[in-house]
Amino acid sequence: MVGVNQNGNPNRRILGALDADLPLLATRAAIELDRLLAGEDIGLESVTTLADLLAGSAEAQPGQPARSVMDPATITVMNRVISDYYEKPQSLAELAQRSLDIAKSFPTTHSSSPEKSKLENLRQFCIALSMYAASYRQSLFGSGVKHPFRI
Amino acid sequence: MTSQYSIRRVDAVLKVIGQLKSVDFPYEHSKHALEKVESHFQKLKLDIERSLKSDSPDLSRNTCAEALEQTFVFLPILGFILRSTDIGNAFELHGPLLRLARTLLGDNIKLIISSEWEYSPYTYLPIPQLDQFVLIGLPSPESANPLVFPLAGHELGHTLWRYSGHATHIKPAIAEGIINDIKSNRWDEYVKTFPSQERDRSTYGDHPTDMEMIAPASAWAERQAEEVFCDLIGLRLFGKAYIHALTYFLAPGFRTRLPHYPRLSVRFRCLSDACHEYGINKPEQFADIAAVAEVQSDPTNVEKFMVSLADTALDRSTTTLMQLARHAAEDAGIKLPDDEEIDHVVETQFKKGVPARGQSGLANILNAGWRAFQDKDMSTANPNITNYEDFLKELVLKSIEVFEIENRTAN
Repeated sequence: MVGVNQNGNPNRRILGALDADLPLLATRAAIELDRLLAGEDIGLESVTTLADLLAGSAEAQPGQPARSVMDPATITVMNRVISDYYEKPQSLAELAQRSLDIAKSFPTTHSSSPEKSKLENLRQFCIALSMYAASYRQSLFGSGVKHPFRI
Repeated sequence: MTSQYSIRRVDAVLKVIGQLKSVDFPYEHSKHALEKVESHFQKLKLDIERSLKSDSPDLSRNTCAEALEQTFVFLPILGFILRSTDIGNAFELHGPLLRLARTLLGDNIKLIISSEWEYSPYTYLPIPQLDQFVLIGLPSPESANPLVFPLAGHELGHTLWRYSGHATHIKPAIAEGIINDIKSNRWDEYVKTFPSQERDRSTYGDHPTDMEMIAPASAWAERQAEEVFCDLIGLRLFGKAYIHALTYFLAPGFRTRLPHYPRLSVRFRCLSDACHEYGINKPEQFADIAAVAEVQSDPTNVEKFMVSLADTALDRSTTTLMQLARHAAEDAGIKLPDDEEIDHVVETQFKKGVPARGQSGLANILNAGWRAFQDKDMSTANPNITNYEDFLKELVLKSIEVFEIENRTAN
């Protein structure tokens, strides 16, 4: 999931719905948020990674609409997940802005966690992302791909 | 119940890994990989246990589903690691190919080669839990045939494609190209294919649904681009020997078309163009290779349209792919096979039935192997050799072994 965006920044990380490791990452982020909700500190490594990927998936300049740098498959998955748990985006710019907003809303430390309902929503977002990403990949490549990491 | 079954399944995998660790592996990388997979499954078990504490049934269900998915992912990999011990493997290849892989991909690369029971060389894409490992499977009937070793170059290309970020770099251009193609050239076709989509041509591409419509074409084009890039890496690393090996494996081609694979004719056209670009003398028998028409099995109109968009997107990318492959090899300091050295090996060593010595690269040895294989005079020159092909393969394997010894003693 490490790559370059359209501006050629080689260190920028972009969310990739077809990356075979995304479902596990999102699952682990959901577990970390769940434990945070229960007051247990198991770290936020996966949450931070996922938030970074989301943040890297759109660009925002002051006074300009946000711009998505996600590929079409990732836009498809994100559109479905965001439509389920937030409001259905009416444009790519809105989807990009929503992705940035979600990225910013993830807690960064155990002590800086948002209110319970927001955390629960983020947990559901991660579960949905994991499920949609896993199933969408299969729908695109079908029976031609026997193993998610095989090529 | 589900969670308990999930934990038991993970425990069963951990038990198998424990047993595999006692196997005598030919090189340490196989054992290191097992330890990584073991650590991954221990963490998966912890994931399930943590999810059991949750008040969200969705979380525990999804975690168990993910653990099940991971079992499907890693069991074949465990089998792959075990088969790296198979005596059908050409263990001579490991050292030289590892050196080449490290030159191309980085000093920390670990390599596992396995003799596999699928008739296609393959690799696993970089797996986060096995970071820096390259896994290359060669089909068991050919796993000790050195003439097909150049195909490993293609498999190294897949890892390079991911590690270098080329994949992420080329994605936006592919998607943008498909959108522009629809708007500029294929709008009527698009409207006919998706009649329920009421879209304005001028703003097409601004809505998430537009992207959803083209996502298959875009994803397939990306995968096709990766395959072509890997062919070009194989060509750049091994020269003509790569084309000979690919021809041996694939001619006259498949009768069915998978949307995410480029047509064989396109792959060979790109290789032909790249020979010119890279200064490699093209083999003569190019025309016969992709002779079979590849047919999509019962495609819908939507799939036909999507594949057509993907194919056109690939065509737009081939020049970039050629440059990317060339720069990757040049940046790593990898030279093209040397025709003079290859001639020298064939004329002064292979013709006398002795292994090559003093070679500067694996590619020269494999090209010399192919040249000797195709030289009909050599096969009849020595009446004492009853099976020239087997003799030649042994000669090439022995040359690779000598090459490895020379490198180790030099270092």
